[in-house]
Amino acid sequence: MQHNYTKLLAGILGATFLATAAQAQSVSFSDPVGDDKGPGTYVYPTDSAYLPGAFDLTGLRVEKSGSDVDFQVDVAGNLNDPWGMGTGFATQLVFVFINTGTGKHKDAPAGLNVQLEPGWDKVVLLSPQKPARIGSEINAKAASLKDDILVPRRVKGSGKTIAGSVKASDIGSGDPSGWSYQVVVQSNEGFPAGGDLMTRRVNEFEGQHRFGGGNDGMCDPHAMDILAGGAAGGADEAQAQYDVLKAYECGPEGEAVKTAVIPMVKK
Amino acid sequence: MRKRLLSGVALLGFAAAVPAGTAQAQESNLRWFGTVYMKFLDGNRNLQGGLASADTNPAREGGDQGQGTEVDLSLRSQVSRQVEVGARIQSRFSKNYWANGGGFGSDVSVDGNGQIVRGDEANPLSAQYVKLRGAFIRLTPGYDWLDSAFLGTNDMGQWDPFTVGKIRYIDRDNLAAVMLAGSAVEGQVKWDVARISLPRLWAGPGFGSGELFANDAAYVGQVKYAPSSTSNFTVIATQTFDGEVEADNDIRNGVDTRNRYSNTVGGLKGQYSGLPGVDMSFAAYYSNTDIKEDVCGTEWGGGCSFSPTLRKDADDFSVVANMEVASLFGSDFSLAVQAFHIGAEYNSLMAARRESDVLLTEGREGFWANHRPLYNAGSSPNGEVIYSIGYGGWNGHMDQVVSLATDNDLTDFDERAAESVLGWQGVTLVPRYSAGDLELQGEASFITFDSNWQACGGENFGTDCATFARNDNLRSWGVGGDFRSPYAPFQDKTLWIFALNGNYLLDVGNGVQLGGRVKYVKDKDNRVTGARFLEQAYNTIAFNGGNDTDAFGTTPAGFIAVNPDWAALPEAQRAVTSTSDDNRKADYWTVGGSAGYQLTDDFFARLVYEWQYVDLFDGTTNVRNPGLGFEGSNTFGYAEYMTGEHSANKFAVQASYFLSGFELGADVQYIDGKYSPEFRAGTGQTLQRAANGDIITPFGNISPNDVNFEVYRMKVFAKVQF
Repeated sequence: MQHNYTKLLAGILGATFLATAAQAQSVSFSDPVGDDKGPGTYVYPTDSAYLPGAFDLTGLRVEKSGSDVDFQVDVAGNLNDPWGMGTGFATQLVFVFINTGTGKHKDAPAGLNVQLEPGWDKVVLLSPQKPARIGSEINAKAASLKDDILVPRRVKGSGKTIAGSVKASDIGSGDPSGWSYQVVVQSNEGFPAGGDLMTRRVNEFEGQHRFGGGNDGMCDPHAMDILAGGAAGGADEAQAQYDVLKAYECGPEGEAVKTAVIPMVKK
Repeated sequence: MRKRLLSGVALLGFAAAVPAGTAQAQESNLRWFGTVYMKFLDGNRNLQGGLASADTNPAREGGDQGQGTEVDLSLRSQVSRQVEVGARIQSRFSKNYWANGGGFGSDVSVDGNGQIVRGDEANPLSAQYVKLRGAFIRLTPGYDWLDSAFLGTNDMGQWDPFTVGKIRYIDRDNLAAVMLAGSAVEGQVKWDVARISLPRLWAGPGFGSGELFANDAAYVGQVKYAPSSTSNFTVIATQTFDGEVEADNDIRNGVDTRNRYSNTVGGLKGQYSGLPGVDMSFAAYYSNTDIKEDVCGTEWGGGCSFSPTLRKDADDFSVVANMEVASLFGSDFSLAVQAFHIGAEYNSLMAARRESDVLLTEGREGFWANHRPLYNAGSSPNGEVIYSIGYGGWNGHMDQVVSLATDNDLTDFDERAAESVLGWQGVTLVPRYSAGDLELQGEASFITFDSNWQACGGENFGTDCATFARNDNLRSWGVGGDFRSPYAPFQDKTLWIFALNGNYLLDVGNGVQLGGRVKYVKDKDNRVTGARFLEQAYNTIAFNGGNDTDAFGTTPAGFIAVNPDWAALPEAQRAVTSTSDDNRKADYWTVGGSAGYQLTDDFFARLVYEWQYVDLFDGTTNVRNPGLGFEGSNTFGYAEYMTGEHSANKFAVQASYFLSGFELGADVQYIDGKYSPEFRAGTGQTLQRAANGDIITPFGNISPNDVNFEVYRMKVFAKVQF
């Protein structure tokens, strides 16, 4: 009888361990609805292609699936494809930054105008553009980061979720639940200005295809929504986001005096 | 303020163009950018009317041959914090083939149709001219009550496809406006108002805005209110005026004008996403058309037969309601539902003509749309056959728009076509399932029609259908049909659409992108349902050697409205005596598969196979299509006999190649098709044969033999953005 109890206890402990190990391969974060205003002042472009809630981050789920790591980003608004991208969405461009323990990069790719603290190691680009075009843009505008910008073989949008997968080996070893993350929701710009990595600019005044509420220069963060605070979806996280994105300074010609620094978050 | 440096060349050019002393001030913020786009078409139609697959312009019909270049050069300058200016100059393809050799030459040669075929410098379509396509001034004065004022050209993408729709890409600078925008209540309320000059090219009865056009305009305003992050509402209204000079034109005391046409459209839209996993939206519109009686006449088929407007005063409404439920049975399953009613007499002059999709349904297949491929009756020399995209149509399914001026001109076969859905009403269900690398999306739609009527709801279609433009006239939707002809004098139609689309990423190498689709469309139209209408629909046509002299209008000299052999048959062999004899039904099947692979970092290729099949029976092609005028004649070639089985195998190779700043795309297709005619005599009648064994129909004497199609077509483009 004693022997059976021992077996039962061992079985329960083993099962608990395995279940914990399986759960440890995924992690999720939440973000409040209605904070798709960057530092609190940004407004959408005026073209009808940009639906309400299109850039309003509500959640991130990361899960290891076999040899892949799956990324799912939720937004508050229904996705649409007014530009015929063929991926189920068109207007969004999502950067998922990952810190696997080193944080070797501080600066985000060109066009976002933010730094990340304590830094990032890999970033996954969820874009409706063809991977080859994204690759060519990376070669031209972010060549030094090329090895650390990961482009899923296929990105799909459905309902309110944008999803893509990359090889786990491309990120590095480790458990996704132990990594730090940050999400920057931007807009897919087919005709990016200057050296921007396919991002849409934020200006002082919104236009048909540009965000408003910022600065005409490149000193303001070009991020509509990010994870903030504890990334649990609390209403207070909106203000936390505004606070970190407001912490920038512009020079008289729109040059960056101080760049906004956004934190990585971790469960 | 933005700070950008000019390239050396641009700076020199600009500096030469501005007064001394101003170049330095502009240097910091003037930005030049643009595109060089080259298109390469090839195909076995060997048409070179223009460098686009589809075009109905007689001077520039569709083509499938040649190489051409288009240059687009834009400038933007933030002159000050409050003033921005921009302009775009562009060349256009038209007939600007590389083979023109620059278009030079004074030895003008004209073909039998009066088209210049040599000495291209004299032909604006071939002279490689560069036009000012658009310019704008944008003011942001910083007033509390006004966010911005915009003057100039715009693609009108900020409005709404039911009221003032986004203009086709090719026409994106064809509209010019004065637009004001503002906001209130800390951004919760936003408003826009605009005055848009009506484009005389098409915006009005009969595709024109009359003799006095310079001040014709559409006024539009919208107010958007977002009380919370989960709800928003929009009120939008537009009023279009088309005026003409009054008969008393004594300019000494000013000249009065009268209204030729006016169009009022109002709409209310809303969205609510406050329930977990549920998103709901609705849109309701009302339109009112007011047109002076002498503009279009009072009988079906008279003036304004081709028109983006109704021909008589009318009003109607449209409603679209959507609900999307995520995670319906678990996180991987969602369902979208749309219910819609598009009023048959809903008329919005400025509604989107294409590049918008107002309904959730896939709609019909572009493959069969408007290709007039010369099945049998239509003759090549009349030109109508080549005012089309040809056998194989457009790629994919069609978009839906509510315009009477639906326009697919200047498109290529690799694009999506649009169709008018005036009169459509029904419901669409779209379930979606996603699990890992597998995506599935289905559709089930049932559609009936607000335009299901007999004699347009009256007693005599010749007068009671006078509200409706005949447009492309042949209401034989689908195979051989048209995309902008929503009205038929007699209709009792239903449409079912079922589809399943799947994508799977096969984890081999760089990942094989597998795609598959199955689609079934069932179209059925009982047309005349009351025996009392048979006489006026089919049996009252007076023939004068085959020419109409009825309400369809007088047939032009030289045109044969109906097959003389058919007109010469005894009346007992022509008369329609049963309401079942004119029915039309069509069963469409599409089965397709594709496999795509990223061969290198720069190069992606996809193989596509598609099987298209239609089983069609159209009773009126054994009799006479009500409302079919001379355009349905053998001479004109719009209409053909197409009852029978149609099948086609389409093979395609699609590829894209990218280098930094450079994109190359290709779509090469081979289509092997077959049409097997079938014939059925009307009630109490027998098939009538000509001496050579062909079957005598109103459209001509039709051979019972199979018709085979073999199409090769290629489009390659190269694009550099700079």
